[in-house]
Amino acid sequence: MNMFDEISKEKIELPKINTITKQLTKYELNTYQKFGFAIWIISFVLGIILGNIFSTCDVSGNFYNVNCINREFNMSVMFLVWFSGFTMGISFFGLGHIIYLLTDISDKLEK
Amino acid sequence: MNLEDKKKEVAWYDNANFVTNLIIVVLSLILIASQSLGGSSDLTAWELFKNVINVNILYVLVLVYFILLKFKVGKKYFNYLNVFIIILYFIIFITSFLSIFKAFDLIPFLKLLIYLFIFIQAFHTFFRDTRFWKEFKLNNSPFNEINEESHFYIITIISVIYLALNLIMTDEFSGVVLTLFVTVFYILFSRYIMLYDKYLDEHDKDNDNLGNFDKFRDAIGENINKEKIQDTIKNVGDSIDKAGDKIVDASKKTVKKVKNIDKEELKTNLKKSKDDFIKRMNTGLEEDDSKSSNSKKKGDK
Repeated sequence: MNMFDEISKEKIELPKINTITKQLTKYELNTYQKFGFAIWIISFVLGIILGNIFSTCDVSGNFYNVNCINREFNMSVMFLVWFSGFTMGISFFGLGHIIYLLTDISDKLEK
Repeated sequence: MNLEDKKKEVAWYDNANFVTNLIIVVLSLILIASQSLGGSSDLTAWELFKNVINVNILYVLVLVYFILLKFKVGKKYFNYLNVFIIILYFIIFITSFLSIFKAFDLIPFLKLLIYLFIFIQAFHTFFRDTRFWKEFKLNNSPFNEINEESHFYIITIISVIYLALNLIMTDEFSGVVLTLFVTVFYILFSRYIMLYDKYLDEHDKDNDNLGNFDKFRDAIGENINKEKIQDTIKNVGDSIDKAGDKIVDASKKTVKKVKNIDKEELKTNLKKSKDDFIKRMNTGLEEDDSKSSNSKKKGDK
């Protein structure tokens, strides 16, 4: 059997855009979660900018050559910035979620 | 020649299974060769790791994609993996575009073109069989006019030029080996996307068919017994005629019967049946009354 025949039998459809937007807009974010989200966006853009500024040697045709002929985008710097931004953002996001849960519990206890 | 024999004679470059296996082999060779060739140079472990991230991250991620396709998980989440590949190549395209400003040379420019065309080809092929094709109305895209084979040939030509330039510029064995493998990978990956596009074309319904079945006639082949088909068609026609005659006869008989019905006799019969029905209703009600009165008397006692 053709590989694509097997895949077409088993594959699942992508979710609708409306479903995705509803899922994302269902929750109201508090200040810490918004801050975490902002850190993600900033680190994404900063990673691309820093990867371009701190460029590395181009390795096409001259892999591991000591002499740097051309310079190209530095992926390692970009992924480093993305990874650090992601961890920082997720810690703030998690903190915000804990605060949301605690406020929810206190509201229910007051009732 | 039988149809089964025709099916078996698919060329290796049209066999999706073979192409994906070849891609996995080539990517593995790229990663192994780059590490082994790098190990022989005077680079530290950190520099080697940085080179892996800078140069080989694309190949690692694409290798993971093709390995996952061999398993059920990959086949189930095929559309999600394709979205990941499209995003990956978009990022690679953006980074190679920014590299142009650092070193405006022919080789980075060719790399940019290769990534651009692969991104366009992947975007317009992988989303074809998904919901996003209709939601974003991607059939109106101008790049949709380009044939899938044209995409493949464009990428092949640019890759060959890229290979030639790199072979001219390189002065090391590692450069020659790795550039060859990378060029082969670009061509095979484009071929894989083209094969998926062809597969979708074959499985799309032909809604614009105005009655021209030449394609199907050719596909069926020459092994049809025309006389047998004509005989069966004739037999089916005869049986339909017979059934039609019987229906016509039966309908004629019923029409005759309806015409010959005596109207006055019909009226008297209807009146009789009505009177009988009323009598039965009245006798039934009287019986119910008598039963209820008897039960009351028993209760009083």
